[in-house]
Amino acid sequence: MSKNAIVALEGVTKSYGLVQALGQTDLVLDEGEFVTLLGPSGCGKTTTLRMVGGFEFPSTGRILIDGRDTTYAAPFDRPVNTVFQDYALFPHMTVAQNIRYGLTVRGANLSASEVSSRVEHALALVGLTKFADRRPAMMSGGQRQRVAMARAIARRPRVLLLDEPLSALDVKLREGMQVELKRIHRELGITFLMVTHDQGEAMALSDRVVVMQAGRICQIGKPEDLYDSPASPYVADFIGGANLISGTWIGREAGRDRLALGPDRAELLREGQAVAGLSAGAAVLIGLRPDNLHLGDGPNAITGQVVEVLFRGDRIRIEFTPRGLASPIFAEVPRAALKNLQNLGPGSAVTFHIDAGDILLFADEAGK
Amino acid sequence: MSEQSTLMRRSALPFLGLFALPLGWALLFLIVPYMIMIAISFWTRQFPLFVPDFQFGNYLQLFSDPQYYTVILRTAKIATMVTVAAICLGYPLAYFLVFVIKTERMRALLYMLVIVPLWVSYLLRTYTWKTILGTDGALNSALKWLGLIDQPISLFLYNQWSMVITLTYIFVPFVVMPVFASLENIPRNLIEASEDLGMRPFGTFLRVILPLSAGGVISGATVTFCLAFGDFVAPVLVGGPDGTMVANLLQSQFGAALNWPLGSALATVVLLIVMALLWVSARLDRAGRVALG
Repeated sequence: MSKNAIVALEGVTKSYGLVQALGQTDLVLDEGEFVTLLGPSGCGKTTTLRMVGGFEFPSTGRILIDGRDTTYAAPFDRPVNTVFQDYALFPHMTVAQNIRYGLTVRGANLSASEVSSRVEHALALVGLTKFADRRPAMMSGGQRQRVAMARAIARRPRVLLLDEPLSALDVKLREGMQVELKRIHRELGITFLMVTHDQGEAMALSDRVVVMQAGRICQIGKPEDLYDSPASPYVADFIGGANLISGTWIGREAGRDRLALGPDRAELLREGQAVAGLSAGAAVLIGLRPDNLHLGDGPNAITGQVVEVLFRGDRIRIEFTPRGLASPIFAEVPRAALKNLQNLGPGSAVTFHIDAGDILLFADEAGK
Repeated sequence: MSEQSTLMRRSALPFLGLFALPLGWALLFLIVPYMIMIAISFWTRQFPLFVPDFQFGNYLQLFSDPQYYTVILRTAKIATMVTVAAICLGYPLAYFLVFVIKTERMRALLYMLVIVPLWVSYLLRTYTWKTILGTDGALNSALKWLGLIDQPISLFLYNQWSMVITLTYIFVPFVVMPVFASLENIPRNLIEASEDLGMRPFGTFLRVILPLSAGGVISGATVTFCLAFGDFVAPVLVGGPDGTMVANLLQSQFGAALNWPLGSALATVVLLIVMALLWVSARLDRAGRVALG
């Protein structure tokens, strides 16, 4: 465990009967970090969070929190608190009583004045001072979300666990709460461990993102690193989205990969780190992010036929089939870029180009 | 406005058609008999006749003659004891079924076992306790076999305790059912949240589980108290001389004693007690529901 590590999972696995929910997993969270476990449902992210919270116990391995082995410690016996997915507010208590709940337990050892000042402080932090005497049933989803946050942070945990905290809110509210979450994290300075399936949320909030798939960690990294250099086609597609096209690796010279998009079609030149284990003619997956495809001719041009044009407000999504490929791919261009090109519709010819540095390259394991 | 009233007039006939039967039923078999009962409670008895009248003598007699009010008080005492005992047994049982039993199938099976006695005739189940507690009964035989006694003990049967035991046995399922339902309805993440906030299991029980299952306890207690209060069979079979309850007194007023006005007054008092109880229970339940949202 490194010096400022606060949570460490060491070789943790979790099985339910014969079903393995989480394979061998190692993960270290540093003090003050905002880390997100990201993946589709069933990837093991919630199981991981629940094991840190003490609601499930690992089948093998150890969990250390603040240097102490808490693998099998009960939830009330660890310095973490959870913001539950559907908030889990006590319906028979007011907002203030909900927050006070965790401050009056045996072992909290707080004076009455300390308790009430902490309740007030927590309410102020989430902007609900006026709602202290409301019942949860009389509040909106966003307000309940804030109460759940206030209740958890009033305990001053070393680590705050957030289980899909924003998933029950509508889009507009969710964006507002993202800003709130980030602010609260900065003000408290404690470690946040969040679970989500929303890559946008993960990217916007986290210092580091842990991408998970089928009970395994695929990649851990800063959001921009995951976006710029995904370790696998899965991560490329999950983070930011990518068109994944089967192609051929022709060779590499002067730090550039020569790629054929589809069997002997358009050639692309890619700049970037070499991919290990490729030989001439190897099958590869070429990842092109819709955002990186620019309208018009240029180096690395891809021409094709438009299938559909989808209006998305400030951006236009164009579905087109590159010449020589069977299935269409997506490009997303700013609306301004399309203004010069009138009459772009299904059937019209279109040309895109992409910067050499923006092309993602993976060995095609399935295509071998 | 006029359109709306046309609509209402149009639907009045089918409305009547739909509800005539239940309304007629309630009128004929509930409301009219209650009216008659309340009316007769003000009559006077001039043996062997009952004369229509409006006087409070019957009620006065009920509350001044110890022969009557002791029975009412005893009935209330026994019903209270039965209610408390049934909750003390039924709540842990329901808790055990919901929180301790892990598999759904096992829970369903045990729940069935609790409910199944309700299929057996009530009379038969009461009679069973006569056989268990009697001088030649199972309890005496067991004690004799164990060598703890050499003569059968007659203390077990024909007293208030045997009534409380019998009625508790009969009404425990009525507590288990609503408590089971209310415990099952508690979201599991509330219990997790409580532990997450540092509360130990017993504290979680006192501050989360118990308050959130109070509705089930209230409805179980109400049903048990009302049924026990009006019970007729247990006093006859296992109650003995000092076990007379209101229902038996009522029966004798309409039978052997031939005093319908007094019996009606007693029945009216019982009705008022039960209605007051239901009102309190509904108030508590509503307060709880408001709290829970």
